[in-house]
Amino acid sequence: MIDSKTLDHLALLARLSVPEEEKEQLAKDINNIVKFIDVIQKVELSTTEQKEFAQKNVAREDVVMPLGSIYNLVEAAPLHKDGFVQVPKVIE
Amino acid sequence: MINDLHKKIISGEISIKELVSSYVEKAKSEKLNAFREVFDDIDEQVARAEKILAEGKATALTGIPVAIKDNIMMAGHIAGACSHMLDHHTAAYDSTVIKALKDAGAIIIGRTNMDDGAMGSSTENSAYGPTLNPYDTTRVPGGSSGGSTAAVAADLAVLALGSDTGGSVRQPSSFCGVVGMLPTYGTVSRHGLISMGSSLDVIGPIAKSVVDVQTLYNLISAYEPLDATCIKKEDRVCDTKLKKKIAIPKGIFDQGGIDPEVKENFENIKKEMEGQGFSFTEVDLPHYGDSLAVYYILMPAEVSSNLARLDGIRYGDRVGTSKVQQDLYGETRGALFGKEVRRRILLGTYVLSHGYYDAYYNKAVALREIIRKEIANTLEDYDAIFTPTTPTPAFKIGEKSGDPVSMYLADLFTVPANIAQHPAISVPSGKTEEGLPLGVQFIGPRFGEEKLFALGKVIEGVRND
Repeated sequence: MIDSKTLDHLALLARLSVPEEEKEQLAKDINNIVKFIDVIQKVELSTTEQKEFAQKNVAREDVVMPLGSIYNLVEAAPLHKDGFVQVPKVIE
Repeated sequence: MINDLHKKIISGEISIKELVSSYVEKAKSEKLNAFREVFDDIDEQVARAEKILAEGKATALTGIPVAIKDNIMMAGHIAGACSHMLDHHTAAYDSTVIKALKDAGAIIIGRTNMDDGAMGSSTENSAYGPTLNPYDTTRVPGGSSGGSTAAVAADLAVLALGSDTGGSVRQPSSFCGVVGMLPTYGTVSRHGLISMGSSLDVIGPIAKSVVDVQTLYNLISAYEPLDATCIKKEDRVCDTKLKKKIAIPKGIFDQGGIDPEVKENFENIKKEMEGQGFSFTEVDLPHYGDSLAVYYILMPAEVSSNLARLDGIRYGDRVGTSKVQQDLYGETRGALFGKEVRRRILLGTYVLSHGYYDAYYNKAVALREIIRKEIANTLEDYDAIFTPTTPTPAFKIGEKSGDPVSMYLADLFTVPANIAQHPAISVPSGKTEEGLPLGVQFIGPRFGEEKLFALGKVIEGVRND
């Protein structure tokens, strides 16, 4: 059961501010979805199955390649100056 | 349709400029909210296509107007995924599919409406309001690629591209009476697609006929290393000879919520196909029915990780004046992501969080493999798994938007193919008494696109509407 305390914790982990007035409905919606996905709990998996079917990396090996203009990518940032991304101070 | 247009262009019966202008005019004055933007560089694109034609290098797609979903990047144009998060996000480069379209001389006329971040089944989650279904404007076009399918259905574009994570090409194609395809995962490069659930996302073609979907698929399915999951052509092996044997998952109509007209249409199509020598067998797929639950664990988990990059620092917009970076993330993300996106991020964070990871995420990963095996094994003996595309025809705007779980059930039949990373096609199969389009779906073996095209053409021959 996701209560308001759990919701606050999830919001912090996800770096997502949730307005106070939305919390109740949001918790209710998420609880309904969790109830729905909980059907998978009735499926029993053996240890071998769990091992055999664990997550595997499917992406190819990384390769080094030249990239076009880095400038274009920096331009996509909301704030930038002289080819750098501008961010607030991290340490006061 | 493309072939006829191509012949007319080649013979000079119609100029590329005339053809494109007629579509651009329609797209600019449409009232369905299918387009987010009609592009302003069409004249240059037409000039490029005319040059290709003049050089005698025209292919089937030269001069053909194509619409793209708002999450596919075209350099210099906004790619916003219909999210306030990316309202001002200009694409820094061409996606691979756009490059292929440009090389062929296709005309990319604009970007289409979609659910915020491709999350939804109706386009109602778009930050810019829903698209209306061309067959009944009080109903949704389906989603998330609803703008693309409505554009093709209303003939505002000849072809369109969408993206399909759990049904987002096929479900709206069914609702809008057009053909839509989920290619095998890894056959179409996603370089330049704004990602959502990376083990599930595939770019898919949309058109009025199977043959046009086939032409567009053939163009965009080249191997390309910038998508790290793209599969080399020589590794795409499949015996595509039809056995004329089709599987139907046992018990698919047993659950509630399936419209009687959907079932009736499905049975009629089945009978027609039996008349053409196809046999149908009910096959027991014990975990097939768990696909949707597995999907609503894996997809939000991937969404919550993937969307971490949208933080107010690197792309799109930034909200708040917070001096501390941590707070700036939260403020920006809280203010600019739509409701459904926020819901999925929190749900994904939950299933990945300490104490729940094994019970949800890891279990879903294992179950996915079991479902994948069931589907792959079935498709060794049968050409395809056959179901309706959707449990109901297009629903009313607002009918399901208050209840996430009932909205999720719209993807009941489409999700298993994404879970298994198999190809699937939705083909119009008739209409309801009210005149709403219905569709049927074939899920094929991996790399068995040719089989799906062949089966789709059979449906085009037997449907009556």
